This record gives sequence, structure tokens and C-alpha cells, in this order.
Amino acid sequence: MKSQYSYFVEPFEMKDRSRRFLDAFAAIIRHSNYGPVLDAYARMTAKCTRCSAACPIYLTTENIKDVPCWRSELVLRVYRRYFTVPGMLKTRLWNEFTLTDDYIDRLAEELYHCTACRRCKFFCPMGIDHGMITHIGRWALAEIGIVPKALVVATREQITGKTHNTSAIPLPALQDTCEFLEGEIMEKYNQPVKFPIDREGAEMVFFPAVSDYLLEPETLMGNAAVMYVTGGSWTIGSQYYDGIDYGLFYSDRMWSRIVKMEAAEVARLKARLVLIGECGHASRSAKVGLPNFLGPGAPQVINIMEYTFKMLEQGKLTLRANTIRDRVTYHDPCNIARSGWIVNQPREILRAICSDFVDMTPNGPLNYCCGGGSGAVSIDEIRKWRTGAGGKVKARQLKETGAKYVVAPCANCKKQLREVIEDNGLEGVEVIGLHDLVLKAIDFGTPAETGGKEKGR
Amino acid sequence: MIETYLAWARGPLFIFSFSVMLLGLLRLVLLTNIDVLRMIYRASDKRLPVRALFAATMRWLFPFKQVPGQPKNRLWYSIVSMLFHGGLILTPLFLGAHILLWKHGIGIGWASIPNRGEDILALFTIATGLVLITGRIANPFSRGISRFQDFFLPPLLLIPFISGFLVMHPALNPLSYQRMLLIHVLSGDLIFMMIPFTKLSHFVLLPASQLISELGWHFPADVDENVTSTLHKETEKI
Repeated sequence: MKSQYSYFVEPFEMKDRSRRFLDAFAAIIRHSNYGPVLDAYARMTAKCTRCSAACPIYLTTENIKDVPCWRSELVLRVYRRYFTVPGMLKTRLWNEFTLTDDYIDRLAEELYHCTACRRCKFFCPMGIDHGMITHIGRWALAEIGIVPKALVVATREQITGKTHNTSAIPLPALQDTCEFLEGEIMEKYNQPVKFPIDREGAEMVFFPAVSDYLLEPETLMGNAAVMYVTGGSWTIGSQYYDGIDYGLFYSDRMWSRIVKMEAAEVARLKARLVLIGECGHASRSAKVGLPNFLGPGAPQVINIMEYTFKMLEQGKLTLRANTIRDRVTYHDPCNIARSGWIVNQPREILRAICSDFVDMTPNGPLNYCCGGGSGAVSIDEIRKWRTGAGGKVKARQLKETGAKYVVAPCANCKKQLREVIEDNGLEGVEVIGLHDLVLKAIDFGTPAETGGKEKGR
Repeated sequence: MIETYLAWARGPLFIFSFSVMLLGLLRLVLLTNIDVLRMIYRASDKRLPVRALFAATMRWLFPFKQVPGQPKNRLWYSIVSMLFHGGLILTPLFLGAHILLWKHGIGIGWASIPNRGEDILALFTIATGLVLITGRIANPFSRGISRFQDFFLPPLLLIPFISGFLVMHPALNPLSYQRMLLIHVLSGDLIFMMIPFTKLSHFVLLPASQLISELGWHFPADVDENVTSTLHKETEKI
């Protein structure tokens, strides 16, 4: 398959790209809250290059195209020229910049060289959120058909397909997997842990990254074990069971549709909370998307790590100290750590079970992206860029910790880090989920009374 | 002849350029406030992390953020830039001669910094400004992302400082007192007029920038429906 970009795209209308891009851009500015943001940024951007020091991709490539402010200017220039009075005046006075089809192609390439990790936002004295500019630019591109095929195919299956999930797992296969996982826990730990499906009236409906059902059985078993021991009232919905939301990476329209499907499933099961599994972007897309796209009545969002930590704090969950003796480090997924939402909870859990936990520097809200953010990890054809330009800084960080296990509570980060480790020759480092370790350390004791009863939290 | 020019530059032209600045900035502040209110009105999730936003806004008045373990922290750049900004604001505001002019003109005066302190401030501003200009030209990345105004404004900002310093120190002044003063006043007038239309306006927009960035992530609930119908995509497949 050939493509004019570094990633594959489905065939799209080549004619009149720039005009249609501007139409889309105008519609987005008109109906979203991004207009005033672009306006403020276009006025204030001071071009101080302070952001360059923040970007792990720039630190590796040292290419001017990877300076966040340079990339943002690509979009801001279009905004200034076509959506501000001085821009229009300048065009009438002299030969001002014009949006061409070539320029659209350049945007299409450059906006996908940013993982939208938003680390640079913390380094901009003007408070410019370059990740948001990438986000807006990608949305306008998507409206004219320029979007990585890997993302759009998965989203199409999720929204309009039969299985309604990005990995196209049919319900019977899901049920089989859950039964299999129940059997596994029985065999290994002799505990009747359940993966309840369609239990109406449960408090929480569980949406992991659906790929976990295929790739991360240990994580899911850990999730279920915590629920079992703490008497958590949870269920998996049979009609919709995917937390992934690639809309966050390329289109607010898709983002909105996907979170609405989550909300509908929660309503169908008469539940109260959206419980997101170990996944960064699934957590952020629900946490930010639900209250915005659904309004004040939207279900609340809780991440499984928040839940586990809360239970640990309340003494409802007992974890055996020093279960993991190898050195362990923790990778912060950008989408949950950047805002400071989930930073300490997983660390407290890890400190409770590991005898040798070390942090990377920098970490928490200032962590470095794994290089697979904003959907990049799903685009297989850019792996060389992802693990090279995108992953070198992370690889160095991992190496410096000397850890055997790197805990990455995010489906995307997990896949990306495994490939970073492989491509950067880091041997003997293993990427796992937080609940994989929790499962090993859990003290089942006498099981709590569960039986599907509501449990006040 | 030169007296006439000087009188014009200090009189009508100054009043004009200063008014352009005030009105222009007032317009920007008003528009920004309207934008912020409109964004809050349209957003369906109106909860804002007010405390964090305030903290971020205050913190960024002093952009020294250092991150351990990060290869480039650009501490010197931050320090030089801060000194430059400090000098840029304090020097003209607290110069005795300027305050005297205000007192004569509108009857309001305030405490001044002694001339000796003003000299030091002005020299600091000029020196740090020159360092910043050199940095912008010498660093290929800074140079590469700079627009015309990024090269044009810093030297322009230094002209009133250099000419002002020379006016105060006749022994060093290569031109006549009045010529140098004319350069000083004209460049100042030009800067006033440019403030609302260039990145210099960031000094009034900065207080709202963190809030605006946050509000960008607060959407109107019906954005999907509206964009879909505006672009006539109701029947288009995903």
C-alpha cells in the first residue's frame, strides 16, 4: 500500500484540499471552544523556544520541525491568515501566506510527528497548549479524509461495526475469555473470582482498553481479583465493553460518539460509575469527554487504580509487602499523569508490594511520553519513528533505573514500551501492568461477602 | 526646526500613540473577557480547577521552572529574560524625569528611583536585551522559528533605552541633546503604537492564558451535531 504520508490513509478526495480544510476549520472554530484559544495563542506566541527543552522527540532528533512552537505555528499561521482581520488585511495589502494543497500535506505529516503528550505546556511562559493545537489541526485534517487508516478503521468498527469495539471481539469470544480467566484464577489461586457480565444495578461498569482481553490477561485477572476481595459492585456490559476512544486523537465528533456509547451502556445497566481499566487515553477521554459531551447528568468516571488505592487506604484490600523483590519502576501515562490526576495512587500501591521501587526522573506530571501517544502506537508503519525519535529518551530513562519490571498501566504505553525495549536493545526489562503485580501480592484471606450486593463507597 | 519636531513628538504624537496603546489594550482585554465568558457559557462542564489555574498563572510570572534529570533546562535564558522584562517595565515607570512629565501633564506623580539606580537598570536592560537578540540570531532553532516581529521588536525596544541613557549622560552623547531626545521620544511613540498589534500585547493577555487553555478543553455538548450539519456529513460514513 502506498501513501504520500509516513502513515497509511484510506483513499480520499484530493481535489480542493485547502478549501475543504478551511471549511472544516471554520466549522470547528464556530461550534467548539477552540476559537478563542487559537486567537489568544496567535497573538501571544513569543517564539522563545523554551518548549524545545521539554519535548522528548526534539531532544532526540534536534530537528527544528520537532520544536513544539514551530509545529504550532503551522496551524496558527492558517488561523491568522484566514480567521483574523489583520490576516485578511495583510493579504489585500501584500502577498501574504496562502494555504495550498502542498501545505495541507505538510500539516498532515508534521501533526502526526507530535504525540500530543502536552509536556511542553508546562514549559511555555505564555501557557500555550501545543498538544491542543495538534488536536485541533488533526481534527480539521480528519474532516477532509486525512487520518491514519489504523485509527479510522478501528473507530469505524467501534461506532458502526457489529462488535462495537476496536479489536472487533464478538460477545461470545468475550464471554469465553472471561470464563477462561475465571478458570485461570481458580487454578492458580483457588479463588472463585468472577467477571460479571450484564449484572444490572451494579455500581460500576467496567471499560478496559478492549485489547486487554486479547493481550493482558494478567492485568484483567488482577482487576477482577481486587473487585472480588473488596466486594466491589461491578459489571462488564454485553452491549458495549470498550474503553478505547481514538476520537481523542483525531476528531472530537468521534470522541463524543464513543463516550456517549459508554454512557448509554452505564444507563442501560442502571449503574452509576464508569470504571476505566488500565489505560491512559481511555481514562482521559472519559473523564474529560463525559461531563462535556453529556452535560451535568453524565456518569462519574473512576480509574481502576484509583479504586484499588482507595480500597488499600480503607483497609479493605490487603497486599503482602515485599512480594516483588526485583527492581520495579513506574511509567506515568501522559493522559492520566499530566493533569496530576493519577500519580501517587499507583506509586503507593507499588511501594506496598515491592521491596525495590525506583522512580524515573523526571516523573509524574512532568514525565516523558513513551513515544506512542496520540494513537501513534496503533500505526504499525511508523514503528521506526516511534521507537527511535519517539522512544529514545524513554529508553534511556528505563536503562538508568536498572529496573527489571516497568509498570505501565496503559494499553498503548505497554505495547509501545515493549517495542522501545526491543528496538533500543534493552534486554531483560519487562513491561507489565500494575494489577499484574497486585494479583501476585493480593492476600485473599477470607473472601468478603460479595454476591452482587451494592456496597456503599 | 528640531524644536518643532520635538514638540510634536512629545505633544500630539505622544498623546495619539499613547491613546492607541490604551484603547488597543482595552479592546484586547474586553474581547478576551467576552471570549472567556462565552467559553464558560458554551461549555457544558463548567467546573474549573480555579486554584491550580491561579497557581499556574502566578508561577509563570517567574518562568524559572527547573526539572531535575532534564538535559536542557535553559536556566540562564530564564534569568536573562526575567531581568530584561524587569528593566523594561521598571526603568521608564520610575524615572524621575518621566514622573515629572506626568506631574506636569496630568497632575499625578509617584516615587522615583534615584538616577544612579535608573542608570544601572537601563544598562541591565540594554545588556540583557543584547544577549537575547544575540541568542535569537545565533541559535539556529530560535532563528528558525522567529518571525519578522521577533527580530524587529527587541532592537526597537532597546532604542529608547540607549537614547534615554545618552540623553541623561551628555558626556557620552555623540549627537546633540535635542536630536537624541527626539530619537528617544519617537521610538517610544512607535513602540506604544505597536503594542496592541504585536506580541508585545502579551503583558495584558498573560493573566488569562492559563484559563483560556483550560477552557479550550471544555466543550459545548452539541459540537458533534453542529459540525456534522455544518459540513453536511449526516450521511457520510465514518
